[in-house]
Amino acid sequence: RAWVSIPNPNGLPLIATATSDKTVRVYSLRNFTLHSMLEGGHSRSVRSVAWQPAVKNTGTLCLATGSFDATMGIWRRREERFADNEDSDNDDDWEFAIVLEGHDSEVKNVAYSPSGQWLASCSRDKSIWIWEEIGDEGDDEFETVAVLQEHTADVKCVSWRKDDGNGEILASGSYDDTIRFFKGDDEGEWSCISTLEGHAGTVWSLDWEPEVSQKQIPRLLSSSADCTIRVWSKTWECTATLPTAHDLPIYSVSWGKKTGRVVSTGGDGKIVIYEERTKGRTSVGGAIEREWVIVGVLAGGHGPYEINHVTWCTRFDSGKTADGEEMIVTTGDDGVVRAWAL
Amino acid sequence: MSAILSADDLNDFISPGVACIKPVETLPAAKPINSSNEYEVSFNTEAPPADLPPAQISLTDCLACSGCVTSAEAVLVSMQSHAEVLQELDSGPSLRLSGNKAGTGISIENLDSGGRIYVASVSPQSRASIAATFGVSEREAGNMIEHLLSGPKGIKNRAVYRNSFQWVVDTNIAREACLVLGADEVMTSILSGGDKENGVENGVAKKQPSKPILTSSCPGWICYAEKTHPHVLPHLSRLKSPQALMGTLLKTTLSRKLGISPDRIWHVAIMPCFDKKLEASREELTDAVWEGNGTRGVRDVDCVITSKELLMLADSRRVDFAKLPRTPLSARTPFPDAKLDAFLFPQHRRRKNNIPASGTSGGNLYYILQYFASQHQGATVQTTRGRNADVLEYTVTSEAGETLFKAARYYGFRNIQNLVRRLKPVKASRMPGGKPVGSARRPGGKQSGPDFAYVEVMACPGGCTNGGGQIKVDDPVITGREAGAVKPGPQEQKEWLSQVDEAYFSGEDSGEEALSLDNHNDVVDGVSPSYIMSTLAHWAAATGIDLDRLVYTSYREVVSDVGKKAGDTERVIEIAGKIGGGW
Repeated sequence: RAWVSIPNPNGLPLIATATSDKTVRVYSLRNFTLHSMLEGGHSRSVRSVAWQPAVKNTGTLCLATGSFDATMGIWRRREERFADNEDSDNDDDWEFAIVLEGHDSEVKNVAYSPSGQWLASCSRDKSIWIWEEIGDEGDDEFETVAVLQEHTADVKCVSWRKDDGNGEILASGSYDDTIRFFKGDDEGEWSCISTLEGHAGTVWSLDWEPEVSQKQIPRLLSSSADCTIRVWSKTWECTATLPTAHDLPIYSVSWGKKTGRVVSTGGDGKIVIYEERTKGRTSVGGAIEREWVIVGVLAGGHGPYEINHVTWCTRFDSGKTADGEEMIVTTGDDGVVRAWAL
Repeated sequence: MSAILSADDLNDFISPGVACIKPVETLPAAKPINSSNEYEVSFNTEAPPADLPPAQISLTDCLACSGCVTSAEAVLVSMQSHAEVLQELDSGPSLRLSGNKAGTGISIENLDSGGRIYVASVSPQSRASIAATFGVSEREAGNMIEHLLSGPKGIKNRAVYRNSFQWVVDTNIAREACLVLGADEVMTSILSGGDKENGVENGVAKKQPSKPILTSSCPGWICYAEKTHPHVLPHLSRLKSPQALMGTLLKTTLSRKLGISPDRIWHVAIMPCFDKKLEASREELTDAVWEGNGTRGVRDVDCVITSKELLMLADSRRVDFAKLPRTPLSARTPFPDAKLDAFLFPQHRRRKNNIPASGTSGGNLYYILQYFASQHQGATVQTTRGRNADVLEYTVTSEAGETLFKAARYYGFRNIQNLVRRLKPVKASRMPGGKPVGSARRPGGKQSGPDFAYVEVMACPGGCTNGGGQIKVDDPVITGREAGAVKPGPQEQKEWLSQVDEAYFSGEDSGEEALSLDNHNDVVDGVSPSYIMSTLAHWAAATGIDLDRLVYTSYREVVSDVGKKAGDTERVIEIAGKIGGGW
């Protein structure tokens, strides 16, 4: 079974898929062929993978993996410049550079902060660890910055919000039905700054609003085993619930950067797309109301199999009609990753 | 890790199929995994195990094991409670002592009544917690505790047998011995060139720990290291903690001098955390070690209660703690050995407690730095703050500017992670095809060990005054309101902790005259090593037990085959996990 597929956030036409065969496969988005494989580092399923944001132009690709064997791996590879270079040395392979141990049980999700400074991991052991790479380039040293144990059950997902001047905030969703926000202060002390309640089931997935205008704070999207998707904003209340389309837990949501649309999938194998529209005013001089509507449903995208992950992904293949056009990539229990265009 | 364990945390999700590993060890014959245990998940299709003896798990087994989930641990820890203390006190008349003022010739009147002598030791952090709670000084808090435990207005009052504690001692006394012995251990390690392990002397494996030496007085840290990072065990200081040392001192001396077996002495320790209860249950801290008769012996500390539980003890006997007298108890039976009596109950407090740089966990590191600096003329100590407030690095530099000694303080779980990672030995590469790239863990040739000679490691951020058993800022005793009405934020907790710390550091100055009483002039940081060593030698001689057996202990790796390694257990977990989802 395949768990997640994460497109490279640094503009490279690559996507990394984590699977239960203990490997991660990286595919090229130009021609949908296998680019490389990360293997031999984990003894159980790789549940999550994250690309390191390219802060400096080091020419190295770096991936973090989180596995059911309770460890995380940091893998590096020298970036080819995509000129078809026949000189396939050992340099091309992924080097398994570091093992991060510490969690007591399965690691469910790993995520780099947008600035690349922090790496967060969460686990069935109810804790969230925050790591920082220290030392010089190539020293390969990570230190534990914080161990956050506020959740009362398995933590399923973590997601960072971009720094808006107040620092980067980490959101987490858990089997205990809550979402929590964490932030670190200048002294290196991290604490839980907010707890969002409202879901009636496990919070499986979180995604922040990708594009917001200057003054606004991005909203948070969450999906849950209670079959709802909620939008949270302002001082963190649930300000909208998307129309119900799923009848089984919703494992994944993604908020599209280019179109602002949301796509969701889950245990019922459906892929559902939503859009936010303005509804107009209900009263003279009142606020403009907005609502979410469903614009498309596709059932059985992976046959009878559950779909574990969905994400919007920039197209690089020859079939694209415009620059920056986005497609949907789904990852299912059938071990297959599919790309869909609207 | 149960460093901040409390009775509220009893909601662990227990996954099916996680079975207790302990009975497997106690079974006499061959061991299939998980054979005779009532907690095992068994499927209807399997034949039930035939004719196996019921598994017996003792408190000691459960507390120190990592086999199943910690809810069981929490429940068992709560069995060592103030209720148990009262139950014990009410179980029968205690032994009555009579004797002359000189301290010799103390004898027991009613030896055949089956009763016991009760002794208590109190930690300074508990006194600080109580002092801050009731707005009194630390010394006054100590007196109030003594009145509670031994005085006429305390728990003795209205008790069925009017039992009370014969002696209430301060663990700071034992701590002084630990400081001196700790400095000794570090000096030996430096002089012997660092990495000498496992030297055997006189048939007793006198295992000198290897550099960097790590403090071993925090049981939360020790249990965690034994379960999860056994590779640090060779670095742990071999010394007992002050609680353990005091326990050994009291039990050995009283049993030898009064001619009773150690199980007739019941020792209660009042500590700032729950993990000390785990420490008290360690097999290494029983009379089997110093009596040497190889049986599972009598504990050196029978029961540990927390600062909060002490107040609950007072409540149960309907004693209004706040109204207890703040002056010392007037009369006290002298301890049956004159020199130890003077040691345990000094006229004046020898060591000043008022140095914040020493931290609130006994000041092991501070003492070692002072001791080392005192051995080198003109040396100075520099402090650098680490990644956060709980990491501090110290360097002792000679007058000429040369680095003589490096040490550090690492408090809190997240910082301990970084420390153990650096101490981990390098493992071979896991890459297929044997790429010459080197190890999966850094470093290959570059041992990035930070070159410390000593690290003070404590599980609780902020040190022992922030222990899990201390009185919390939202406790009704302090707020005077219903528990839970006031939700304390991190700021309130920080302020409360600083109040407790202030009480901890406010130990009154003993004054210079006290020191000259002992006629020893090699005082470092208020402690005279020669006085301590001579007292220890006297103790060993008086009890006829080798000093090494009295003051040193050992550690063992706790091996659990549940959950992590492949095998039947893991498959059961995987199968059980698939039914009903949850991945």
